[in-house]
Amino acid sequence: MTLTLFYILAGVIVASALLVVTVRNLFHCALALAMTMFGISGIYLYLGWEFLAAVQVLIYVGAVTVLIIFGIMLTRRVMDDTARVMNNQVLISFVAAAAVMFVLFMVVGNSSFQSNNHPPEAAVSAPVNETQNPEPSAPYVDEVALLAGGLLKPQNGFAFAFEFVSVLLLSALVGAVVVARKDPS
Amino acid sequence: MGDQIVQWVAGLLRQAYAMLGLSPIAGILDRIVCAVAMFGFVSVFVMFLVWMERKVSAHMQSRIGPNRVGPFGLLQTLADAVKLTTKEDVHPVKRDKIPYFIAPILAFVATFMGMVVVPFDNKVVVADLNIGVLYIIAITSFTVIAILSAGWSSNNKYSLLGGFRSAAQIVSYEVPLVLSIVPIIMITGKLNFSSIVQYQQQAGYWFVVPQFVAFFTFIASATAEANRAPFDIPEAESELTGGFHTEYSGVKFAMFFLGEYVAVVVSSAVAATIFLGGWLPLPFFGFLHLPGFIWFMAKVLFIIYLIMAFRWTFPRLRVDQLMDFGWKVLIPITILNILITGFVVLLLGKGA
Repeated sequence: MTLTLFYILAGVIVASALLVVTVRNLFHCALALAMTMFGISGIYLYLGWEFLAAVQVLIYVGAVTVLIIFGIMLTRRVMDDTARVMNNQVLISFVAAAAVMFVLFMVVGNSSFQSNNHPPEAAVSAPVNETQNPEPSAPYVDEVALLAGGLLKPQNGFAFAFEFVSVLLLSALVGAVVVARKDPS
Repeated sequence: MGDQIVQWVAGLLRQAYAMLGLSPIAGILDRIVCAVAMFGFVSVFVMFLVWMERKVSAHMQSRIGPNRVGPFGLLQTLADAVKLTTKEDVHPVKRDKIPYFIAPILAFVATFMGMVVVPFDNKVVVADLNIGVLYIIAITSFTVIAILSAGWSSNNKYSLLGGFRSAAQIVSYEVPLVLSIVPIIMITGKLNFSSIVQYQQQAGYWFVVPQFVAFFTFIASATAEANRAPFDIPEAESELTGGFHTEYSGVKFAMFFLGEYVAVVVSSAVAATIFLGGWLPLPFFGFLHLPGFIWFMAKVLFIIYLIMAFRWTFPRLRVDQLMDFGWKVLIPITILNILITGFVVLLLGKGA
């Protein structure tokens, strides 16, 4: 049952990812990209990492895809179907994509994926999940606290990088405002 | 009280499953029943809200409002719904078919899905997600895509402009909306709605008292998020002939229309839960022993009334004023509020 769910999700992700790179209408590509990202958040939910799933939707669907759609709408004419799917850089981009995929496979192969269970004391309206708890062996982890601790606890050494990224993003924001600002004259 | 009713209904459902021989998939069926029940409740409640909106605006303008269909005109919305669903579905010939079809469904469903994590009473909630607050923020961000799709696929300049304005407004006001919830999360250390209400119960005060600034910014940005007056410049009838849903008619228009009200319901439910104590009784009125969901609905209706009253008390903002209010007033206030709350939490040694 749960494995069927995984295959459905994987099918949706692969199909919409293929749509992203094959459809000629760029706006449809962006919508398919949103679908892909939503499917990936479904995989996170399937593994029980709710926080990651919500953040995936929030950032990739709510922000990145919307930004892409804005870009398409501001630079292209309505109902413009003439986007070229292929150009003369097919070979070199294939090599680049293959290299990225190789690295990703190396990383994915070396990491151990753990699923997370629902909290045992979860107050569900009806006594629903007494019977359906597929793998009670995996303990429940408070992922928000885990993530926050991993990023911000001084002994982990990421606190500085975390703050540094915030400052970097702030300067990017200020820079964008400066660039977009009208000339006062 | 509320959870006893739910237990009783759950028992009835169990018997029904057993009679139909469906007990092995009871878990999945429970979810479906919960979702359908929530859908029915929200749909009927939204129809009631349309009537309430008309009555409130009539009251503000010394009119009577709908009074023909049913007692006090209560069935007026039902009549309107029948009219809308039986209307001819007119659509532009040169539309972009798939996005044009998906957009109204997405707009309605994305806002509706936020409702499932809001607790109506202690332990009465469709899905008590650990990260409920984050879930609502994430799932409602689909509405931006729906609105942009609608504006783009209608192949109409007014629709496209309206869609742009609407999307820009939602993206801008999402920032103060989220930032005004952050202080509550800092104090409670929880992203779960039920836990936030339980914290208020133990603390003995509602968060509207120490966080009234956050309450104000939340209501203001939630009104803007729902594209409602005084922030309804994306629809601006006088200049855009209705904004992104200009080219929609019949059922598809009804879905956009109802989606706007569902957005109001979701924002009000969130505000009632995190700022007004959710299912907790009013102070000094605990002796009434009313069930929690009645208190919850009373608070939701109060906030909805506030949002409806805004419509007739504030003049509509211009586009530049709209953006100024969001970026130069609301966001600095919320950031300052987060800073002060952080200091206080640190000084008192509370929080996670």
